[in-house]
Amino acid sequence: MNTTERERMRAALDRASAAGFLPEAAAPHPGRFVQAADTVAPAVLIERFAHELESLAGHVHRAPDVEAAVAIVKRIADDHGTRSFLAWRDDDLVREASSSLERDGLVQKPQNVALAGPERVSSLAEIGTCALGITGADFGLADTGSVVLGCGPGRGRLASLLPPVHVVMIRLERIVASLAHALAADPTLASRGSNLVVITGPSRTADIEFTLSRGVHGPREIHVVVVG
Amino acid sequence: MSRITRVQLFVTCLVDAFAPRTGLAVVDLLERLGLEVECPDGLTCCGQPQLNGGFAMEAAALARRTVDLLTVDDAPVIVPSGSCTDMIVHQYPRLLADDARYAERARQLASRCYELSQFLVDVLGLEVVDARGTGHVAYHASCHGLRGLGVRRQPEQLLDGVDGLTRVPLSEADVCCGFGGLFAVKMPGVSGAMLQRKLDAIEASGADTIVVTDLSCGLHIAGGLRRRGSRVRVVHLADVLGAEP
Amino acid sequence: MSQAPAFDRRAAAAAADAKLGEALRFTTGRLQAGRAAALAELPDADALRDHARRVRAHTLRHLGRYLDQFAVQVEALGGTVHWATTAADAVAVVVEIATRRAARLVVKSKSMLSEEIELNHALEQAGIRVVETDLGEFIVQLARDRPSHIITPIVHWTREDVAVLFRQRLGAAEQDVADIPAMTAFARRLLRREFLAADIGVSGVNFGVASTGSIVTVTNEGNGRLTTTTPPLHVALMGIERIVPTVDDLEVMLRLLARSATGQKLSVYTNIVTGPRRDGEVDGPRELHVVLVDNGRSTLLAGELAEILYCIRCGACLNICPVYQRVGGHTYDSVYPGPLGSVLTPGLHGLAAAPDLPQASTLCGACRDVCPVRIDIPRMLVALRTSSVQQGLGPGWIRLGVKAHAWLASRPRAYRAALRAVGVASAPLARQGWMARLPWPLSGWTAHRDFPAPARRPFSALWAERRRAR
Repeated sequence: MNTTERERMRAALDRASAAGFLPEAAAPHPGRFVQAADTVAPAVLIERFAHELESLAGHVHRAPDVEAAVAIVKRIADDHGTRSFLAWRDDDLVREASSSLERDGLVQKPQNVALAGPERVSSLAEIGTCALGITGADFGLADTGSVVLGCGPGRGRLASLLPPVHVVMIRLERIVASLAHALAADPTLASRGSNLVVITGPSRTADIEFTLSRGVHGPREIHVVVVG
Repeated sequence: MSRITRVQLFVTCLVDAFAPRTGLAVVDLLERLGLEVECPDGLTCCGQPQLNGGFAMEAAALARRTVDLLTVDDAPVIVPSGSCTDMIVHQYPRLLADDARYAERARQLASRCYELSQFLVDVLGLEVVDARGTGHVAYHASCHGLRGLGVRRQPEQLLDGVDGLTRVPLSEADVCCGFGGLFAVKMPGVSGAMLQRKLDAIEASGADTIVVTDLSCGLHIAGGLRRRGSRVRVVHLADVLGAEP
Repeated sequence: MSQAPAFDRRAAAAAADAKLGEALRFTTGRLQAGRAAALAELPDADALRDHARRVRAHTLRHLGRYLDQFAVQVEALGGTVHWATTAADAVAVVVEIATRRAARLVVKSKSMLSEEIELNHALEQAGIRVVETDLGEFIVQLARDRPSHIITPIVHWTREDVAVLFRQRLGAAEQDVADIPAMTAFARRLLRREFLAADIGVSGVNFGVASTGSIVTVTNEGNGRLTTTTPPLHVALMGIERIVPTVDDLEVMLRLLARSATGQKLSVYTNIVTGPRRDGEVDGPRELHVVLVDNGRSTLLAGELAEILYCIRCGACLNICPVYQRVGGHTYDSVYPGPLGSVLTPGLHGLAAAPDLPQASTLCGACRDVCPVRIDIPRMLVALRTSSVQQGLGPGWIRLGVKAHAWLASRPRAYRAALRAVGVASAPLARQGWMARLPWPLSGWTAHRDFPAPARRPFSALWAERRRAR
């Protein structure tokens, strides 16, 4: 850090903040926003989650148990003629699905991207060929149809980003009303790893003539398999 | 609030110069409601063009003289313009906040100054005014009245109560007509383009008469309609309500 | 007439472009409707907006402290923070980072700030290839055009325009440009190669979280995620006002941002980066640099325009603005168009740099109504106009006319006499009470509409008569 530059900017800022006309700045920080009522009733979390995600052209699959969930993932892999896939390693649901796919002869590619050098480029290229990415999720958000994915050891960012199809496996009890609820339940959620992403539907753009098209940089399809 | 028996009327400079009969219609209407009407001598312009043009000193001078003229008497002040009312209600207290002689009087005036339809509906509590009309009317919601004072429901409700009138919807009724005071002459290209879109909406509405609560927008729209050769007329709400049944 | 300001001349040309008019009307209409529906569905929307406004106000009052906290967190995580007072300083930091690592390819996700400091040009001068990856920005870059909206940069392009560009500049085949999904897929293939080969990813920052040192970028396409994930080095360009104190505050802003921008409940990817790749993590850049850019913001913060820094860049004020809707973004000739830009641009760079922008508004107040944090843009436009008068900018005839009018309006007797004189003078020009052609400066008015002739006798005269009669 360039200390002089920092000192100079900081001094200017302190003078400015004190001098400027900032409506409503006299009050202290207002604290956490308190909602008058819950956005989504607990009984309808999954219905609302499915409704929201499906309205964005995402797919929601219900599975009574792990076995059924794995079968759903296999069917999605089949439907897309998947030969290789990328998957989180430390999630028990995902591990079940990965093992099953591997038993069927599909190739699981390593998630690890080398830090530097030609290995970095080749590992990226290798991962880039996967047709399917399978991840878990920390939370599902009912009011927006989102899934919240924190990265960490065994839980890469690329599985939910590079392949054209992304499958999320999540247990029913991980679906909460909103992002605010998720943060309240897990206060270090946002900063526990170097990346947290809230994914709300498939990648999309409306830049040309305000016409929607999907899968512009991220996955074209997102499937959420809810277990329980 | 004790029962109101007297009001002061500030017709505004535009009504004074361009539509004196609208001013008389306001007087007639208020008198028909049993109110004694006084128009203080010497009122001219509220200073809004100066303020919005960036001439704060000139605006403050006009604000001070208007405050002087309207605080001799403490009767409510009625203004048949949302824009001028907003100037008095919201801008005067700001403009004169640091003027020891005027700050308090400006706030006091602001607390008893009303746009015409706001006064009739919100203050007097009227649901309808006895009046007669014919044809199809649409209401254009002028910006300062709408966003500064929340005036829209009141004139629409009053129009709906006029015998013989049918109110039709106007698409984008709450979008600016492009007048903007000096804007219309400083930026004629933009202003003209905004006006054309307003006129298109008016002609598509099927209304034969456009009703306004601000003469400024009214004259702007009327001038545009006239240039197009349109037969749609523009009138002030007071012209409609002033017409006795 | 040639006296018209440059803004108005560009505006008239834009307004005459029917294709542009249709595109603007369609897109801004859809965005507005989306916003209105999303806000209507949001529980406690008004309270939430008030809350967000207070958070922004508080943050800016204590901006230095929150920036310190943010910088300490970023560095504790192994990132590097650079403080840049000017655009030139910021550009120099990024060019230095890139040249020191002999970078050849930079991928960028959308950053208004990078346009403000003209980063691409400087990197290209240093021999580095820069690729914009937001689809709209990619097209703008390829065509050497400029964005015309802060959310949908190519609202002024048609699909045919894009098809021609892709064929001519990228050698796209017929089937690559057959329709919008095909063009999108074509761009995806092309840009994917760039993402995987890039040496540096440069992103903007929607929000920086002081308590955690997190950087948040919000995109629908996923380019923001790729830019901050595949290259080994990530440079985040952040305006100093982008700070929020806590993750809870971030959540409040997120709840408003996408709803206000496009009517989505959340954008597709809300990407929160907290430091570079950590031990044991399998991907992500190993180096993170955050460049904190002032470039006029502290000057803005010190004055009566400070409130514009509350802005969270949703673009709702553009979509609702009747001026923007008619003339489009290019007319503003400013990185930030629309009502927001009409305050921000002269605020950052001085009135002389953008003298017309504060005048390009009717002060209708629609922008203030839709702003998620209720910024009083009209108030600041008037403040800028006042500065403009004080600095002697703007045409002399307005100054003269307004002052003369104010002088007369303070002298009722002279005022009435002048009114009568105007009445007499205009009578020969009027037909049925209207005038079709007036000399300059009122010729601007009569170019588009008739001008009313004053009544023969003003209200004041009729009223005096009536009072006498009683």
